[in-house]
Amino acid sequence: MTSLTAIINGRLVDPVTNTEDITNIFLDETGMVVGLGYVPEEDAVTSEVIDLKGKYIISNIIDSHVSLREPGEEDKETLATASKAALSGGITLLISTPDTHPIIDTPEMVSFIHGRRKESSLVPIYPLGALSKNMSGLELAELYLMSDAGAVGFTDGNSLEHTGLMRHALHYSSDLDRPVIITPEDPLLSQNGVMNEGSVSTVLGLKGIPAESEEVRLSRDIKLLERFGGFLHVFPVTTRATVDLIRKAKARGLSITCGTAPHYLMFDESDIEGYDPIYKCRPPLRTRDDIEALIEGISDGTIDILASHHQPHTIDGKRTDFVSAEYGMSGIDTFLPSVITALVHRRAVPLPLIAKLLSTNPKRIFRLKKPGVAINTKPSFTVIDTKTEMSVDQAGFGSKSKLSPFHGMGLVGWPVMTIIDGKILWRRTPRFC
Amino acid sequence: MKISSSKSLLALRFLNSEQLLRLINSALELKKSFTENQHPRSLSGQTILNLFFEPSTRTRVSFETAVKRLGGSSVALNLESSSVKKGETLFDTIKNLDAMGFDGIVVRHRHAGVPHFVDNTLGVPVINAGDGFNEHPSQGLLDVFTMIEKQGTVTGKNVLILGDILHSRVARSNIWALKTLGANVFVAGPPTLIPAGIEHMGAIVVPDLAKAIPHMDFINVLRIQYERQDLGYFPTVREYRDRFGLTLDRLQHAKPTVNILHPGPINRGIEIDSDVADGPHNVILDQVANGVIVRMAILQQLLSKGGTA
Repeated sequence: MTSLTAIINGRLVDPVTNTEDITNIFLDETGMVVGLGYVPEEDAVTSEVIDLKGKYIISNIIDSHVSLREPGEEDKETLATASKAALSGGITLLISTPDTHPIIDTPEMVSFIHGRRKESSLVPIYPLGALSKNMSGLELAELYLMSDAGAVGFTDGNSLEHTGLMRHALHYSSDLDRPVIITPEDPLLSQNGVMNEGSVSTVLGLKGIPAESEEVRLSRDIKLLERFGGFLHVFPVTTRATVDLIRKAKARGLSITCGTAPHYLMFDESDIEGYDPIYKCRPPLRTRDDIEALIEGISDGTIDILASHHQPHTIDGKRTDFVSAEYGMSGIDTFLPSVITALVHRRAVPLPLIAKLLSTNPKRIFRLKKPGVAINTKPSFTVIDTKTEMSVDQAGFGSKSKLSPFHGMGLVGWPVMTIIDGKILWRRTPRFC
Repeated sequence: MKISSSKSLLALRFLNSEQLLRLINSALELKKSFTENQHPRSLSGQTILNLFFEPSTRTRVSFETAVKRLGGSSVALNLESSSVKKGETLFDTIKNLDAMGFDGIVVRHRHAGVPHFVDNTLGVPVINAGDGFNEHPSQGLLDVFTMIEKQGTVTGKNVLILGDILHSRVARSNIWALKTLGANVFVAGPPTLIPAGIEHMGAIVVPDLAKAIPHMDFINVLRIQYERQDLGYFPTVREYRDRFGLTLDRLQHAKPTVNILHPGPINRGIEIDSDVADGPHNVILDQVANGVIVRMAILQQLLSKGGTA
């Protein structure tokens, strides 16, 4: 006789059927789902009954764009600390960027990350490989070999400056079915800009990055995609025109997907008024109208995914003036509640769409074979309290980087339990049930 | 981070007309007492740090002179940004200097927002002596002070700021103060050097310089920095002068009472011709003289014992 864990009365958010039905989940000691239904089974011998009344369950929440700094900058973050942040942040899978020291641009480096992950992280971490060797933009990296070693996509950050090599990158990888991920920006148009160009940058005397910097480069890459094939994933998109470019490219049947990050939904350029470096990110915070365009893109399916764009720094990266400060913010710990606050709480976006953005769409884009909550699987899922507001305290982050623009803000949508491969690996304390 | 501070002078943007006029009136009084050699020694026993991360002659000497005349002493530290880069962080630099116990810090830096960071990090009063393209409040005040001295008021007057508005902290401080005091502010220059959304600051972009000049009571000519050319803001200095240089020819139809200002240093034959810079309308050296007086007024208000900010 096996002893079961009964997780009852939670509402399982299913983006495929568009439902949020109460589902009882029975896990055996190995984490296998042995019972699934609306009524608890009478004959089950349960070691623990967890009542999730009023809570929601989303399986396989993925943060698909995080910079983890290991190897090379372990003072900022490690796989272990990022994993801790993910568990208490309700994230069951991370996809890491290759911008480490050394850069992840070979199958050996991809294997190294997988090995380090097994040693130090309870949360699965899948690396992205560099698109070009040493991210230099001069020669393509070994995309197929890295894919074989477990890289789930390729990125140099920005798309390649060299238009011809960018053409080859897309064309060469066109039968690989792994995304080339770009953060489009024309550096000659951005020059030394540090924030969105407009009346706010003019008032503050800070050099602006025009929205067109993103749009001009993306227009080029969409042309290349259209002619030479490949799979382009754009992250993060921040402007109205960018969303529109991608909407039209999708309508023409191109293999293009995109995502944005929660800070682009919650903050705009006017937040930089006090020169607070916490708001410094690249691409920069844009305008309220751009936020509206992002929300429209999320609602109509143009925007496929959300990811935190976690870029950890030590205090020194931000304890300086705005121009000297580093770009980016700590995002894993607040990812889930910031998404739910921005979209569900403020914009009444339904939870099944949230599950698409955080789970099924990134699974599809990065070809991740992770089961949902089903009989005879060992699922990963997160239990979410969508009602209780809690104030963000960055001091309590799992991440080493305690630098968040959400610090002090009241957010809703906090995780209360994180289950990975059928095992409860984290529960909020004090326990909610 | 705070955008304005009561202990410091970071910007003119957040001063109301009463606060601006209080500073200007106190400068007028100082000027009067100074000519009678009876100005107060209100900074006696105080030491001011002049922290210049960017080269400056005029502003630094002007602040030093102002401190000295008020009976204080100053220490000047010139830290080119490149040498700072090699070593410690800005945070450590200013914390270390602060530990030496200065009564106030005058700071200039090529990045907008540095004085705000210093003000936020340290407890002492901070005076912004120019931060990037943001503000140069003491220059803005001395410009307005000089205008009022020459024509009695700026309210209702037409002021043209001519040149590189995009990279000018002087332009921004002028616009904020002049708009607050009820002047009409116009800007002119190559479209590439007029920043996006300048109209939100209350300035009117002049499409035709020749048509605008006859209506102006003041023309504040900004310095053209050669290095900007590399980025293609305009093709050549020669072409700039031809289109926007303040020449005698352009001044032909100006009001006889017009005053020409320039924050210095002047590029003669580029943004302003010598016969204009030395001509009867120019008040450029008055500005320099008034600079010391206005800085005395600022220092006194922020630092003198019993003074109110």
